Amino acid sequence: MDSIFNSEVRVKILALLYGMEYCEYNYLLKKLNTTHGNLWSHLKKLEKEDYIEIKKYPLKKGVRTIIKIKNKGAEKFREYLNDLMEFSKKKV
Amino acid sequence: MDIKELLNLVLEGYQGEDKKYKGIVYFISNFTSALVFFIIHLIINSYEGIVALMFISILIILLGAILIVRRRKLGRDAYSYFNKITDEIVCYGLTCIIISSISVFFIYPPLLGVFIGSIYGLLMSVEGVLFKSLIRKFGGLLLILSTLIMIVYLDYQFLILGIVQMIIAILHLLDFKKN
Repeated sequence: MDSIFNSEVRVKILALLYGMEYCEYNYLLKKLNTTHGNLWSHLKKLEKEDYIEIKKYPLKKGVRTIIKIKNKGAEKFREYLNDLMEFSKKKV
Repeated sequence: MDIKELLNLVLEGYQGEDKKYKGIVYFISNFTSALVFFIIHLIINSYEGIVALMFISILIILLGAILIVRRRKLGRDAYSYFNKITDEIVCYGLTCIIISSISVFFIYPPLLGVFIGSIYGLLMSVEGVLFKSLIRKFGGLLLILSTLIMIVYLDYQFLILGIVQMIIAILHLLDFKKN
């Protein structure tokens, strides 16, 4: 299994993004109930592996950060979910 | 991490929505449409100053559209697949409202408000079901049920429609303030 899925936060990020077109950084921060630094480091790792896309748009007040799952990320997450389901079936 | 927890999170992603954005947009659209329905009621029941009333209603619609576009330009925090599907359903729904309104207008005009109310109510309930929103489900049901009262009091159908829209707008405002 991909080392990306070793972290619970990264799995949660991909799970949330899987059903979304895009979301704002603060939305993710609120949903995952984690710290800014922790979330940002995991997002950077996912971006480095080409799982997600992070785009920044300048606003009058601050910056708007948009996060989107990429095809590779969605595919890998689907595989991970299938593996997990098969594993749980065998366990039963 | 538990698989059930993971699947719940996936579903949460599918149902993700920017509540603040939707609260504002729904309040504006319901409030402005309520005002327009009140004016339509006045136009139908009193033939004095029709041009002025029509001018005011067009201004209100324009104002509502401008406010919604301005809010949309700021962007929403989350846009899920259910949002995408709902946008498409609303497009088809609005086409249905326009076409059926034209048909009803030519066949039996007194039933115009009843048609608009029931289709709009259905659209609102569908969105409420998709996003598990009690207010939208209740609002949609209220609109559908109000059409029964409209049939009894046909002369006041637009007034009833306006009152129900105003109630829904207030509910959205209260929900938005609570969040």
